[in-house]
Amino acid sequence: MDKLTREEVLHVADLGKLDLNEEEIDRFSYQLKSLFNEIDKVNEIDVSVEEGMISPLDNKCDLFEDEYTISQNTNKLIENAPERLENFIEVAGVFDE
Amino acid sequence: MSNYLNKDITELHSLLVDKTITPVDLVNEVFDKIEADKLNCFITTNKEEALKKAESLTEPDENNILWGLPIALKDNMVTTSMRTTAGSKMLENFMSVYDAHIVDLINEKDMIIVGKTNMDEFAMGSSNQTSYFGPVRNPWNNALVSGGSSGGSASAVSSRIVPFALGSDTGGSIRQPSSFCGIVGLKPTYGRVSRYGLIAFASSLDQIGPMTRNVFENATLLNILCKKDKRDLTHIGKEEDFTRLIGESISGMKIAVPEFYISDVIDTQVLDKFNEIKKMLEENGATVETVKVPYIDYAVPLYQIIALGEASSNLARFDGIKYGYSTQNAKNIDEFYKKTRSEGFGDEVKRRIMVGSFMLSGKNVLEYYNKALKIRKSIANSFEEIFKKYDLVIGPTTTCLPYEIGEFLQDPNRSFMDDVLTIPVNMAGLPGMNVPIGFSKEHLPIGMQIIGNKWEEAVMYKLASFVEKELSLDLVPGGDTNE
Repeated sequence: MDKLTREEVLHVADLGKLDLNEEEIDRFSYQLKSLFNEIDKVNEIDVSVEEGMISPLDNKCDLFEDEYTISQNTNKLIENAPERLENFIEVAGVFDE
Repeated sequence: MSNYLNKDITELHSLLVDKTITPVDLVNEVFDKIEADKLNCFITTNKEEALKKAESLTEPDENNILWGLPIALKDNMVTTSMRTTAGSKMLENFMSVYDAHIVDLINEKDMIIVGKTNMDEFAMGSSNQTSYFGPVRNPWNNALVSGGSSGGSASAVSSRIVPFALGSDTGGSIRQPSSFCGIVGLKPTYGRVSRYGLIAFASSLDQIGPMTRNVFENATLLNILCKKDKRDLTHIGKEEDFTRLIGESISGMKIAVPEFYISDVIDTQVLDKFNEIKKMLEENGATVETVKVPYIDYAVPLYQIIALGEASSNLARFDGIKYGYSTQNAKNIDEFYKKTRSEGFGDEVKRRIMVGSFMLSGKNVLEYYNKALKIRKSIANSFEEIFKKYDLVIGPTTTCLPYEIGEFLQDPNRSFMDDVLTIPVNMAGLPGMNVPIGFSKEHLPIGMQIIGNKWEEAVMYKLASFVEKELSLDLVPGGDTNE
C-alpha cells in the first residue's frame, strides 16, 4: 500500500507542531498518503479563471473605528492560563532547562 | 414525564402566555429528558442556571414567540455560564471570559440555554465519532451515527429533548446530521450570522445556523440571529422576516438540479426518494431542470486544501499557554508546544493540521492552495450564472443513509466524502438547508438539500414549507406521542 516516508511524516508533523510516536508515524504515513492522493486530483483540472476566491464576501468589510476600548477583563483572561506568576503567564524557557 | 416539548412553538407560546405552563415546567421537562438520554447528545448542561433564568421569567411576552423556550448550543460557541470544549480534550476545562454574539441575542429574546451539545472534535468530522466525549447515536437507530459535526444538536432536536439547537457548518456540519436525524437545518449565507464567539475551524466557510423540528421554527429562530455585530468584520447584519414566504404557492418557480447530484455517487434509495420529490414539484407547477456545474465533483480535494489550510492556521492558537490543556515536564518551549498539541488533539484533528500546514508551506501555496482558490471561484461563478435563470438549486443532502458507529473509521477520506454534496455551498458562500423528504425501507430519514442565492433564505423556506406540508411526515423517532 502507498505511503509517505518516515521523513515526510516527520516533516509535516513538525510544520503542525506535533510530536508523533512510532505507532502514529506508521499509521499516519498511510493515512496522509491517502489524503494527499485525493488532493492531487486538483492537478487534473486546468481552470481558466484569473483570480482565486479567498472569501465569499463581496461586500467591503467595515473596519473597526480607531478608538480605545476595553474589550476583556485582564485578570479573568489570565485566570485561564495553566501557569501563572502574579499577574503574568509563566512559560517554559526557550532553551533546555 | 410531561410531554409539552413535542408541541410546536405556536402552541407552546399560547400555553405560556395563558400561564397553563411556565418556563420552569419546560426546563424541568428538558432535564428529565436529558437525564434519560441514551444518545450522548450533551457534553455539558447547567440546570441550576437554566432554572434560575426560567424562574426570572414571570411575565410572558405575547409579542415574542420565543419567550421562555429552551435551546441548546453546539459546544463550539463560547459561553460564560458553561465550559466550552469544542469536543476536544484540549478544551476540556475551558471557561470563556465572554459570550458569543448569538448567546447575547438568545438572552435578549428570553430564551433559556440548557446545555452544550456534543460534536466532532473542533467540528472536524461527519459522524460525531471524533468527539473526545464519545459518539452521538442516531435517534432512529441507536447503532447508527448521528452524522456530524453538529451531531449532538441534531440528535437532541430529533429526539425532542429541545425544540431548537444551533449548529455550525463548514462543509455540511448542519445539513448532513440534520439529514441523518430527520430535522430541518439551515446554513445561512456567509456573513448572515456573526461568528463572534464561534471557535474557528475554517473562517471563510464557517457559519452558525438553526436546527429545528420544522421549517417555520427554523425561520423563526433565524429571525433573531442576524442582528448586526461589529465584532465580526465579515458580518453583514441583514435582518428580515424569514417566515414571510412560508406557505406561498411554488407554481412558476424555476429549480435547477446539478447533474452530479443525481449521479451514481448517490445511494439508490436516496436518489429514488429525491426523484419522487422532483416529480411532485413539477406536478405542482415548478420547472425542474438539470444543469452542469463544472468541478463540483472536486469538492473533496478542494475542501481538503482550503478548509484544512485555514484550520491549520486557526488551530495554531492552541499552544497550552494562555488557556486549555497544557503538558507537564517539557524541557523547552518548542517541546512544550509539541507535547501539548500531541496530547491534547485527537487523530482526525492531527491529520487535518498536518495536511493543512503542508498545503500552506513552500511551493505548495502556488501548486495547490492558489489553484484551489481559482477552482472555488469558478464554482462560485457557475452558481452565479445558475441563479440568473433559476430561483433555487436542489439535490439530495447526503450520498448515503446513516451508517453504523465504528464503520469507515479507518478511511481518512470518508469524513470528507460524506460532505461532497454540501461543500460546494460553503465554497460559494451560499445558503443551504436540509429538509426531510421521507424514509428508507429501514425507516431511516432521507433529506433534500435546498440551495439558494445569496441572502435568499426566505425563498428556500418557501419551497421547504411546501415540501413539508405536502409530505406531512411523522418525524418523531419512535412515533409521535404528543396526544
